[in-house]
Amino acid sequence: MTAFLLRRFGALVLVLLAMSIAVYGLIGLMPGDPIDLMIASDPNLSPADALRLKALYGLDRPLLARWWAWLTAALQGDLGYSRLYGQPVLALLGPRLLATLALMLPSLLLGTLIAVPLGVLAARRPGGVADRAADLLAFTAVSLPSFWLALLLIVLFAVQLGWLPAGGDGGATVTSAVERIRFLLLPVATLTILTAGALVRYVRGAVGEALAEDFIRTARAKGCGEVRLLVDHALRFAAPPILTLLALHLGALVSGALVVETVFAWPGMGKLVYDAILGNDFNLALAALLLVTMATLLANLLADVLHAALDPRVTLDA
Amino acid sequence: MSSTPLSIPASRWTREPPLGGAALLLAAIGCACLVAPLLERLLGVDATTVDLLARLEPPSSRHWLGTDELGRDLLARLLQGGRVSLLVGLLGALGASLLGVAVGLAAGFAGGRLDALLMRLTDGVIALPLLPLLIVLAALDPAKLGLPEALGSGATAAVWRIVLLLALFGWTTVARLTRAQVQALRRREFVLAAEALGSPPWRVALRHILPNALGPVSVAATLTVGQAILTESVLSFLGLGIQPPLASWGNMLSGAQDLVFDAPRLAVLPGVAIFVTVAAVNLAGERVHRRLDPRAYDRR
Repeated sequence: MTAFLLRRFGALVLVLLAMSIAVYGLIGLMPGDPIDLMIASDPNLSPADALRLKALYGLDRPLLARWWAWLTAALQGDLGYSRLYGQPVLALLGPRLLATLALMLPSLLLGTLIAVPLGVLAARRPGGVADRAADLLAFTAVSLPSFWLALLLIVLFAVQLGWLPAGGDGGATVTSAVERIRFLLLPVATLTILTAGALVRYVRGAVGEALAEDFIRTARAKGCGEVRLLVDHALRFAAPPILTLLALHLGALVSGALVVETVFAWPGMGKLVYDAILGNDFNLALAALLLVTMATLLANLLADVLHAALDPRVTLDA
Repeated sequence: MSSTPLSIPASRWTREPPLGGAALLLAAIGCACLVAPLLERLLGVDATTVDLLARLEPPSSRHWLGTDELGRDLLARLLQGGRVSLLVGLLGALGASLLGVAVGLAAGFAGGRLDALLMRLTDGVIALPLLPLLIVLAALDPAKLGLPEALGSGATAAVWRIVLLLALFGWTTVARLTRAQVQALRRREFVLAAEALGSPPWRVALRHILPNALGPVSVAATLTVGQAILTESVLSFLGLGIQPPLASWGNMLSGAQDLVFDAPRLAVLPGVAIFVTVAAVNLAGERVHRRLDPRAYDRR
């Protein structure tokens, strides 16, 4: 187990380093770097001046040398300064991360609470009502554009009914937690529908396979009650693959959160990444992208560990 | 398992309503998008003419679905957007599928080191948070890549850029499925026979294995079309895909968000177009799946 974790962790660090080089290089290729902006704002700046400025800031050095300078500073906690927000990047990331977690955790929880019972019922009786509902939910989730689902919820609940705010987090005017939750409802609902739709198919599949196993017939023959059979025997057997999928779904949820946060103007990591990239805020974009990637990769690692911890047939040392 | 789309009589495809319905719907959407210029001339409207005196008009005999925030005819824009979205989706999915088949065939046929390397790469791409990366790639300045200006700017270049991005990141499902199929076929007797008779490896791979793997792969390719249309619409919605004035269903919605209180119609119709199209594609894909592998559904 320890050897496995160490190896996977090493691989994760390597992937992150490679990603940081790639993203560092890519971000340099985006339009509007600081020198570009200086040239645009000052017509007297000659090309020779621009070259001198580049040399002054070290931008004429090779890519790898610049990346190394960024990395050594980043590892000492200096992620640079955000042009867009006028703050150190590190100070920006914390509150944004919390705001995104406030969206993702309830969505994951609610999505699971919908998908697991529905999937179990669907697997129990193929072709029944639950099965059809599961089909519909899964089908809707893969065919609906996430941002349009968000827009529809805004049109329905904010415009037509006027029950909920159309976006934002209320800012400083909101003081009570209950009031803040009203701003959370629509974005969380959007992500919950997408999460439940993505999961329910796998729950149904995994529980369906479990129900075909011999031990289920044995349990039934010994007079095991239906509820106990489904929950204690079938769902328990199906749990490892479902949990693995849940962890793997986090990557998709990050993409979903980016869209949903942008539509609802929710000040989370996704919107931060989006604003940073569009606003040519290189330091911020780089740090935020790598943080998001790291979180996704850690979730994948967690999925493998969970799988091994829950399924005695899987050993990690192999 | 070994049946391919072509080996099934045409009547069996059309007789069953779901594929018939979905296929008909897709054909209708495609036709509507194709005859759009004719309709535009008939009604005296087009997708790009701005008329600031006719902003946000309700549906009328001239503007069947009304006008948008710049007074452009909504129906004409929907149809133009449909052409763009369908074209980008189909081309992107085609590119992704070709790449996926190539990767899956190479991995499944060669095995060993190459297989391990390619599958590690596939897992890596699946694990990445795709959308943030796509946004970076879509925002790149082609001039800084050293591409000539003419190649990097303009509406056509934007379309090709999105197609390229869709192909670069959409191939993983097709690749995994192709690999699984190829591995299963690799040890079948007709393949061994072909090898024993002295067929060179490329011929075995391309003539004997590939055609037999294509059935299930075609299902994944169909689903990729739906994914490609969705991804294009998200990127365009975020302002990084197809650029106005060229309409796409995604970028029509990004303008509509600021107007949800004044004209919710603008936020609903392009989304309905995306949903109906993607749903029809996915339904058709599932139908193909059911046809090719009835066990997958009966056993469920």
